[in-house]
Amino acid sequence: MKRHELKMSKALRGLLLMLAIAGLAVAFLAAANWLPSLMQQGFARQYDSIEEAKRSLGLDTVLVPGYFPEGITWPPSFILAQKKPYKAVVMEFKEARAMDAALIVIQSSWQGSDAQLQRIRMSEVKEETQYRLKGKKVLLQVGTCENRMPCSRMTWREDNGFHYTVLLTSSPFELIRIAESMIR
Amino acid sequence: MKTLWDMNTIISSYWGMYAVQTVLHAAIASVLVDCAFIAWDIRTPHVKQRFRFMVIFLPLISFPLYQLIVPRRGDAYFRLESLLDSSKWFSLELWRGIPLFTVFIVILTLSAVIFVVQELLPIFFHMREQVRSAEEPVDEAVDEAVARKLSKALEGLPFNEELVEILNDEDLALFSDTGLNPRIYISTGLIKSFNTEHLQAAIAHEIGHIQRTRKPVLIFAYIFRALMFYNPVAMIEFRRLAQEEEKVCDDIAVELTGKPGALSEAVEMFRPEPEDIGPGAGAKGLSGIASSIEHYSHDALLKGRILRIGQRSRDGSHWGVPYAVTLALIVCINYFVV
Repeated sequence: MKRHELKMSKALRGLLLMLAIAGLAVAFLAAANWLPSLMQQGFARQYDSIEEAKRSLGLDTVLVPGYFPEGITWPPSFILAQKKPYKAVVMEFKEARAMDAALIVIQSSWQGSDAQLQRIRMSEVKEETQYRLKGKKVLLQVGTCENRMPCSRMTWREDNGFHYTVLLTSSPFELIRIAESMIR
Repeated sequence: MKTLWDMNTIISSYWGMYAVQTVLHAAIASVLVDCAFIAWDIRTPHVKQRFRFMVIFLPLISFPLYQLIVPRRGDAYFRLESLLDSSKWFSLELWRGIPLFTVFIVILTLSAVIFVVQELLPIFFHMREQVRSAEEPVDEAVDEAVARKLSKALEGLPFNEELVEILNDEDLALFSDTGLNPRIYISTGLIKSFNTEHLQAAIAHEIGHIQRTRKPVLIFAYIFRALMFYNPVAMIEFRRLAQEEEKVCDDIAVELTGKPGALSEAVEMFRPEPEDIGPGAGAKGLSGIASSIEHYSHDALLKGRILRIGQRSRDGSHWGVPYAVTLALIVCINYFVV
């Protein structure tokens, strides 16, 4: 074999070996990602129903809306729940025949920002107001979401220690009715 | 529970994520680079340095770049689909609810302490010592035989004899000042102990260090390593990079003298005495153990260099594709590690 061909053969062998190693590295990382769930329960994952999430995580209360605007129905199209590092439940509701979530309800025991749990975020707040709704102090914000759609967001804190965020890609009037149906 | 909350405050912040991901990305890059050396049988030190530089440099910029391109990287939804979500491991509760994150913080703190004690402070003291020694009068009286031996050793080497300073010291000492006014410092003990060939090889190695300052890879690597003072992987990788630098200078010395055997023998003479290595060596107590470990480590490095000098190889100029492939793999895999 000529020297040039030998070098090419060595380079190609090295490339194949490196790609195989990279594949092993990916498999190892995936296994390492799955391992904590084997050892302890409560890490963030998707659930098929609220009841399953409550059972799995031992959550006593998950507030759900009693009112939905036209086009949005129960059950949620996506449920994410966790117990570690803090308790949180995220419910997403889509409009019929729509790709993106139109309503997001977040229940979180962490007092910090729950932005990392919001699939759709408010990119611009045009107006905000604080007032009392059914005796609870709520913050209502109206603006535009990241997908440039008008949206509104309401946040409040319940007596059970949980912080609630409801985001709707629509007018604040429907949002207030949804929140009213949740607040006890 | 409060501990997990506080942990979440740190790791969900920008700088918290940055600190975590620089360590993870560096670890993955280090493994892939070592695998590249095996896959392509890369042995040339200066080529290996280029690869190791990736391990120090890439993690510094990868997180900000990834976040710039995909700002939502790091939120709960990305983490669900990621290859490795570090927050799962950090949330694992050890004894009495203490999260594994605590161990991570301890490791980072130790790395930072090692950086200050073993790297930053010695630089500071060395600079202070240089200022002091510059003020002290130089001992001009040098034995003629010693001076003649040194002149003979310097013959044929590309270095001005006037820039070689002889230190009146019976120990074996040889080092270079690679600053704006390069100097080589050599002890009378070394000149007397080495024959001319050994002396020439050893000085040629120091000339290699001086020549290498024109390509300040180590300086940039150190700056990037210092910016990640808390990163244990960057610390280990920088030290490996520095070890490669010694091998590069060995290669330069062999190029200059044409005598690899003389260099091997010269390096052999710098090895610690057997009584300084091993469990019963040196003083008792912790300082004795630390000293023994240091000597053992130093001896292992010198043995490695001696072996390599006898088996020098060249990878040629065909490291471009391996470098590009390794870089691409590191960038792609690390994107999915949060």
